[in-house]
Amino acid sequence: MPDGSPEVTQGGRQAAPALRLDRVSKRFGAVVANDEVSFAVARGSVHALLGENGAGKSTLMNLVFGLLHPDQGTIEVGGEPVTIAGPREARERGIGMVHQHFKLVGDMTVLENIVLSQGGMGLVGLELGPLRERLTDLSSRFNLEVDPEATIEALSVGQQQRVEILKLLVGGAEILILDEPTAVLTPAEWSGLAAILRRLVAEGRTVVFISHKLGEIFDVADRCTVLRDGAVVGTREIAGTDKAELARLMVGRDVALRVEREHLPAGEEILAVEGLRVAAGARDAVAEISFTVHAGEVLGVAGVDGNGQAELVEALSGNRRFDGSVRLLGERLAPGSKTAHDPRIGVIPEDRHRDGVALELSVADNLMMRRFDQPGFARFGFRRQAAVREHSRRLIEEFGIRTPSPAQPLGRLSGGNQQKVVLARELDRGPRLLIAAQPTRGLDIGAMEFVYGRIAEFKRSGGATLLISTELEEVMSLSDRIAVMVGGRFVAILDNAEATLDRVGSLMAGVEERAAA
Amino acid sequence: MSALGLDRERLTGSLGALASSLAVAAAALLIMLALIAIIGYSPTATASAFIDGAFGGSHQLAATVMVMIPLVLIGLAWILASSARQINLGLEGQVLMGGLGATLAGTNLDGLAAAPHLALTVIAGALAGAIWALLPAILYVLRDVSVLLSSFMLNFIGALLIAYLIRGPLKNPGGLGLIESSPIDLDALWPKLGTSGLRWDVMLIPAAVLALTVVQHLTTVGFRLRLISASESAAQHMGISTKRIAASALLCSGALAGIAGSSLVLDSFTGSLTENFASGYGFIGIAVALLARNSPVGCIASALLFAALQQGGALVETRVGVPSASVEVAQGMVIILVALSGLVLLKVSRNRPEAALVPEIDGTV
Repeated sequence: MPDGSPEVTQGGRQAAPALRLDRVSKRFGAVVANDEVSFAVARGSVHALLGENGAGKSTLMNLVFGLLHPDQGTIEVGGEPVTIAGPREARERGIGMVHQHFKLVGDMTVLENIVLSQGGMGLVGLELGPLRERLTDLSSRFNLEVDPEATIEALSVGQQQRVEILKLLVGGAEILILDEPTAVLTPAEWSGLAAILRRLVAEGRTVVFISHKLGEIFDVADRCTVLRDGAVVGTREIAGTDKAELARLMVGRDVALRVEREHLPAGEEILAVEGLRVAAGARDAVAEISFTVHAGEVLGVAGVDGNGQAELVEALSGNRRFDGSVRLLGERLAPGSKTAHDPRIGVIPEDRHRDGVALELSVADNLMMRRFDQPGFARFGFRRQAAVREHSRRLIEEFGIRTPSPAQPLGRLSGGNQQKVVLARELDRGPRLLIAAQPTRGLDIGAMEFVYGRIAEFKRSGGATLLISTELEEVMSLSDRIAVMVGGRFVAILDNAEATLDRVGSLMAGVEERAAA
Repeated sequence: MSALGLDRERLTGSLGALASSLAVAAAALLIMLALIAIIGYSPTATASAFIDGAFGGSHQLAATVMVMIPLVLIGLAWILASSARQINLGLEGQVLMGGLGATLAGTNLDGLAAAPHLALTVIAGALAGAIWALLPAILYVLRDVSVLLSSFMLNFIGALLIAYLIRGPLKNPGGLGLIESSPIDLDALWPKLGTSGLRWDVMLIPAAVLALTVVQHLTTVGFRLRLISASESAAQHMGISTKRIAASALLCSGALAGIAGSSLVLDSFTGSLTENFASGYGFIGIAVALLARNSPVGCIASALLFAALQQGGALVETRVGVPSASVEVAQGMVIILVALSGLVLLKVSRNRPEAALVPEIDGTV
């Protein structure tokens, strides 16, 4: 055993920050995405990058990962100025990134995806054995349990994220960048991830954690850099600050995101579900669920992602076959019928980009998707352009959708404004039932406020809402009753008054685990 | 303008597409001429022979325009199917069947007046083309069978079926040993268009282009198609039956190809069904649509290029001695370059500020 002194010199070398940005700027045309951003990430720490959507966090990390190139400024890795030409070079320098939208091949297995990510495959055959061992070793060590042989498509969003993290770990990344990693996680999964991140930094790896949620930053980060409008407004030690200060830095004013839940007397029964079963392959994704939703009521469904929520939504919105009885205003809906066209049901789909909008089509087209062939908007198969234009103008104004023109491709709008388009379209038909699945996923605070406000307004106007969310706080603050979904069943339906975070949390964690079989 | 849903953005987009298509066409021609120079022929003599062959006189011009008719129709057929996300590689077979349908109606319905006879002949061609697209459509709807494969395989069956029919049941009894069907009744042919050497079926070009453009931009059907090509999943969630639409688009695509086939037979030298009357038009038509970047109007210009290549190539062979296969080189070049320019455009748009990466100045808080 050598004595400590050589280590100390090495330690001194290591004191150089793992990652340092010095006056980095990036412009897109007239838009300044990053304006002279400087901060340093200490080795072996969790460094949070906090800011609202559009504050420039993702652009910044894309610069570090080599997906974009800075207009000016320098990036240092381990104290050494570098030019990162592309993701491959970033990876060689030990930088790994989990993107908001996962980069996985859907019809390949977990193991195959990880092989792909490592590159350097032989021409003949794949050496899967050692990798499989490494994978199981890493996943048990970090509690990142996934079946290496499962295909990606069969995994929930939460599980897919674990695969993304495993990919980085197998690749031996030193600096892990996680772009909004918790958008898809439950509280339980989040505390699991937090433990993993702590473990990683304890081993000397470095984590850059992008988020707009204060709570999780206080859970896990050592330091936090706050971005607003592309510029750094401050870097704080987490130990020396509080949520109020960071929130103020982030939005530039005091915020209070509290939803005032109005209690309304329960009205007529809008939706009555009895013995609902939805098959997914050989098993039942939803098993024997019964519930009702009344006018003026929000029924929240809490649960860990992948416990049948997606299938429940698909069945009720007419996109999937089911067994059992579903009555809307007393009228029985045929299994698998195109209730999607039933004007009495509005649906905010979980995966907005895939199911809710067409990004390349215009805002006006997206607003009209439900009603383009209705009498007022079409005659003899020809669209009535003037009526369509007039109507979409009205919706844009009414819902405060920020777009230069109705003809703007939807993909150019911010996530919040895209969700407004979905809301406007779904509420436009005057539905009695609103199915809102993960309605605030990936949205910034302003857009969240808007969505909450619209749901509250819908409730006040006598609508029934089925809210499915993995954001437990969201479910708790909006819902009059809370159903907890585990293994395809509702293990409990609680009144808001009797539902505490602890109680719902432990139900979600599966106190009645047997149901999973 | 705005009635067709055009705005500046889309306009600049289509201008860019136009520019890149023109560049592709020019590059393909230059490469072809360069190759011809390399193998030892005079490129200038070749080029002038080309131009003479395609546009040199009213005769040549008429012949070129005649070739454009099936090419435009087949290009539109491809566009229609691909707008519903279907890859109709069976156009060749549908053209063949269209020719067969037209022949059956054109040789058998004696005693009809000219106009209804012609109409029935063309309709029979359309129906036959649609029927040849029906099987792939059914297999796709019921069993998710890839249309690309099933429609392509039917090309061979169609070709062999015709080869059999014109040697057997449909063989021209008065033929002089030629392998062909009986000639189509004269009153079932398209009337001549003045002294131009063309027939009235040339009007199918503007009519079909206009019809498809109107459908795409002004109708609810067109909206469904646009939605499906933008996001199949979103379309399904809006309650649109994407499979039904895909099947209908395939049938209409087959019908268009069938009409192209009917024109090929009706305008042919012999006025009868022969073995190779479709001679690859079903595939050249795809190249027409690709070069036109799926724009119906663009198909006219694009078909003109391919028709001119076809016609000019013949004269090049007789006058300069360059094998007319060089035309196929040029056609192949176009396809490769269109694919390449697609990649280039993708790269360019990646380097430009991308929507997802641009921070939204969203002051809604």
